[in-house]
This record gives sequence, C-alpha cells and structure tokens, in this order.
Amino acid sequence: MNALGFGLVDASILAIAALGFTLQFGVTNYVNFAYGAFLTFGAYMALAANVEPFHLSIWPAMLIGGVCTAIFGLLLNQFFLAPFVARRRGLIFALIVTFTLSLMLGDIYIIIWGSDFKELDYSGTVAHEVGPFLWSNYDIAFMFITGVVLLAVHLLLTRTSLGRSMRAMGDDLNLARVCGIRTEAVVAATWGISAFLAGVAGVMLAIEQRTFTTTLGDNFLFLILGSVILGGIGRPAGAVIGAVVIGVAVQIGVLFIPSGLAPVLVFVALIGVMLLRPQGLMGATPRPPGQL
Amino acid sequence: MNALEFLVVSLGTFAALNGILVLGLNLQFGSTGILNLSYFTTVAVGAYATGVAELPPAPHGGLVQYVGGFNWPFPMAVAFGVVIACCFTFVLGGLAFLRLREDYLGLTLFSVQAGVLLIVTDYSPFLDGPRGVQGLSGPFQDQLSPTGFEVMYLGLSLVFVVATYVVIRNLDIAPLGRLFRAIREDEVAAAAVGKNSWRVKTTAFLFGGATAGLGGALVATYTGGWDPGAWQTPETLILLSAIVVGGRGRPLGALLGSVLLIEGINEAGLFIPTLGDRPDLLPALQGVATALALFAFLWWRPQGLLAERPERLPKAAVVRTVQPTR
Repeated sequence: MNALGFGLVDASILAIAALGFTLQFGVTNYVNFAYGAFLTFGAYMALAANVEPFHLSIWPAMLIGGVCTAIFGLLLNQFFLAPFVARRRGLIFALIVTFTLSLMLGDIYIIIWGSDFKELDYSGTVAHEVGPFLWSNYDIAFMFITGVVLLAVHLLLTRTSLGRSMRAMGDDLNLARVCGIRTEAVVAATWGISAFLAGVAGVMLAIEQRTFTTTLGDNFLFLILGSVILGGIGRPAGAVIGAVVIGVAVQIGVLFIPSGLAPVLVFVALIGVMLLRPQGLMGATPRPPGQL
Repeated sequence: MNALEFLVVSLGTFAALNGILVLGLNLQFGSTGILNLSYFTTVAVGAYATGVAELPPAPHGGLVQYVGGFNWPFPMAVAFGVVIACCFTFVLGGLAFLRLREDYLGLTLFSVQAGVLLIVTDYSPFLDGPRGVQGLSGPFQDQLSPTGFEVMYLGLSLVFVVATYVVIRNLDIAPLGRLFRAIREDEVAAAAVGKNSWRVKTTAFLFGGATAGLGGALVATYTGGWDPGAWQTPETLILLSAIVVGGRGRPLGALLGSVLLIEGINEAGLFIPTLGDRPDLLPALQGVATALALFAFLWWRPQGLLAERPERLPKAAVVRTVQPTR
C-alpha cells in the first residue's frame, strides 16, 4: 500500500512534467528532446535562489525556478528554435536540433555549474500517515501543487482564448491560421508554459532526490516519454493518465523485480503501445507529422 | 615506439574504427532517412556480445558478474557480436517500422537508447553494470609485444574499414541504394509504385546494425573492455554530426566528417592541457564545439561538405515530351 502512495507522489511530479511536454508537442508538432535539460535548468535556478546567493525559502525558489525556465524557453524559441524551423522545414531537422540541443545544454551546465552534486536547502521532512499511506509533508505538498497545476492548465485550455488557440493548432495548423490565430505568438506562449512546468517539476525532482547534478532531467526524461507515449502524445489528459500509470507501476513493480530492472516496465508499456495502439490511450493529435 | 608514434598509430586506429561506425549510421540516416538515435546502443550490443563470447564464464559468487562467457577465439567472438547486433536491430527495427510514424519512431528509438542504458548500468547481474566487461583481447594479443599489437590492430582496422566502405559503396550505387534514397525522399510515392517500405527500411536498418555491431566488437577488443561510459547518449550525436558535416548520404562524405569532426575535435583535446582544477571542462567544451558544428552546417549547408551527387538516369529512362502537332 505504501508503494501505491509513493507511486502517486512520483506520478504527481511526472504528471506536471509530462503535461508540459505534451502541451508543447501538441502545438509545435515536433518532439523537444531537450525537455530534460529544462527540468535541470529549473533545479539550478532554484538552487541560485535558494542556496547561493539569495537564500530564499524553498517554495518561492520553486516558483522562481519555474519562471526562469519559462523565460529560458521563450528566449530559446524566439532566437533559436523558431528561426531554425522556419529555415529548414522538416521534422527530421527539428528532431536533430532538439536532440543536439539537449546534449549541448548538458555540456553548458557542466561548464557553468560543474559536474559535482548539488543540494537544495529545505527544512526537515516530517512523515504523516494519511489513511493507508505514508507520506512526508513535502510529498503531500507536491500532490497539492500538482492538483492546482492540473486545474490551472485545464482552465487555460478550456476557458481562455490562448487555450482554445493551442487546441486548434493541435488539430490543424493551417485551419488555425485561416481562422486568424496568430500561430507564432501561440507557439511562443506554449514554449513559455511548457518550460515553466518543466522548471517546477525539476525543482520537485531535485527535492525528492536530495542531491542532483547536470543529468537530473535526462534520466527522468525516459519516464516522461513513457508517460506521453502511453497516454497519447499531444493529449494533456493522456499525459496525466500516462503519468499515473507509469508512476504507480514503477513503484509497485519494484516490489517484485530488482530495482535496476524498473525501466523494463516502461519498455513493456512502450512495446504494448507500439503493437496494439500506436496512437496511445487517448489517441494522437490529428496533425500529420510533417506539418510544422 | 615512442609516445608520439604510439599516439599517431592509435589515432589512426580510432579513425578507422570510427569510420566503420559512421558508415553504418550513414546508411540508416544519411541514405534511408531513419533518424536512429539508438545507433550507439546497437554498437554496444555488438561490443558486449563479443565481450561475453570471448571471456571465460564469470566466477560464481565473485564480484564480477555477466551473462555468457564462452571463451571463444577472436574471429568467432566478433562474428557473434555482429550476429547478436543484427538480431537486436531486427527486433527493434522490425517492430518499430511496422506501426510507427516518423516522430513516434524518433521518440521510441530515443527511449530505447535511454532505457537500455539505464537497465544495463543499474542491473549488475546482466553485464556487470558500471564496470562492464573487461579483459578483452584482440587477435594474437598474447603473442605480440604491445607495439606489435598496436601496429597489427591499425592494419586490421584499416582492412575492415576499407572492406566496409567497399560493401556500402556498392550498396549505394546498386538499385537497393536507390530504394533507400527513394524511401528517404518520399515514402508514399515509393509505396505507390509498389515498394514495400517496411522491407526496405528493415534492410537498411540491418546493414547499418551489422556495421554497428562490427565496429563495436572491434573497438571493445582493441581497448580491452566496454562499459556504460563508452555508449552514453552523446555518442550517437557525434556520429550524426560527422554525417551532417561531412556529407549526408555519401559514404565518403561520412568518412570525411568522421575524420574532421571526431579526430579533429575529440583528439585535439589530447594536446590541450587540463584546464586548472576542472577536468570535466574540456570534454564539455568539445561537446559544445561538436554541437555548434552540427548547427552551423544544418543552418548553412545541410547537405554537408561532400554533397550527394544527383541521380543520373540512363537515357532510355528519360521520357521525351511529345511536340504538339497543329
């Protein structure tokens, strides 16, 4: 039962991260392999706010981490990604660019911050027994934050014109343009939102793992990808469902199999999806793959 | 052999071995357009398979653990490595190409690379985790002096890279090579004229995978071991950069890119002294340099230095337009 509880905490962090990933894919229609680097960026920004030199408490630091990553994502899109996609239209180019970017960012992080282990500064954790589950105060806080974030994103997508534009672009880019949606602006905003979510998730992950280095997001990216492929890429609801399934499955699975083999569970999910339902549980966005 | 001669010889050997590796990915990505981000995982499969074939069985209850341990001689072990790499490639590619469209394919291959790396590193009973397989040897290693072994391996690598180049070049100019490029340019059109895209892609994937396995086997037996540090995610990127910079699709271009980029950037680091107290700085800078080279070429010259020659059709295949009669 504890495993289920821990699984839900993992799933919370995973849900935020997967949501950011899938929102960005839904609008831009190409995979951001550098998403793991965004998570790492958030953690390092929070480190600067929390430890050296600002010594803020962990919660404002988390927010700052998210905001800084959002700005980073916006700038990256404005000055690098959007121009590249405009100049070399083609899915392969976009994939190569984000893949290369992920590795280059990892190296840049090493150059700036070094490859030693860092630690965020937060006060002691207290264990609470909630029903059959055993959670720390931070675990509960994470799940609460995730709930708030999910609600906020849901309202964004359903109640705001930006959200409607994002959903429209996810369905058909050209039709959205014909309807007068300013697609470049929506893309820019989406990168900001996606990066914000990544930054927040990165800080949570850094707290949960105690210590972190420049590869924080990279190892987590595997779980994120599993969640979004399972749930249906481009589908926000799918990302959350996928995150819950993967998060819980991994925690429960390691009760039965050696912990080193945990990724096998994700593989099983991936292969199952590949063979049985390539579009994922919630189905894929209707945009054809080449339409950037 | 003094230190400088040793350096030159080993640089040459690595250049040849990297050449083999880059030729395989060029076949998959350059010619056929499959962005195989898990290429280096296939290289690792070949390396590990060769390793466990060559080594004696792991001692029971010892600190070192791995599967296999057949104690085979060098040629058999290398052949085993290539075969296992082909099996892995077939299962991976066959499954993936069946149902996945372009972006899911890239995503899945990336996930496979990440996941396999995690499993092999963390689950020690399989391939000894972070330590990997050690104690491998090349042919006649116990009979040659270290100098002799280095020179012999240089010759061996050159033979292999030339042979690989000849095979792949012949594939390239054969109808099968045209099929690969047809799939790359327009899969739908190729299917419309009756070409089975699954078969073509799997064939290209297999040839590339065999080359990857061969390269992995040779590198592992040359360096004497293989561990997760040798096949991290950036390795595929280095090969990808070599292909884009050197000449996408053209085997000679891939080799050129490999020499310029891999030898140029990576080995140039040997001549730069360690910067202060940051030993991690130089590899990181090399990584950034490789990435920047890739971005620069993608932006200004995506076809690479040695561009692919345009297809020349035989005269009879050219349709003559009929002049309208009045």
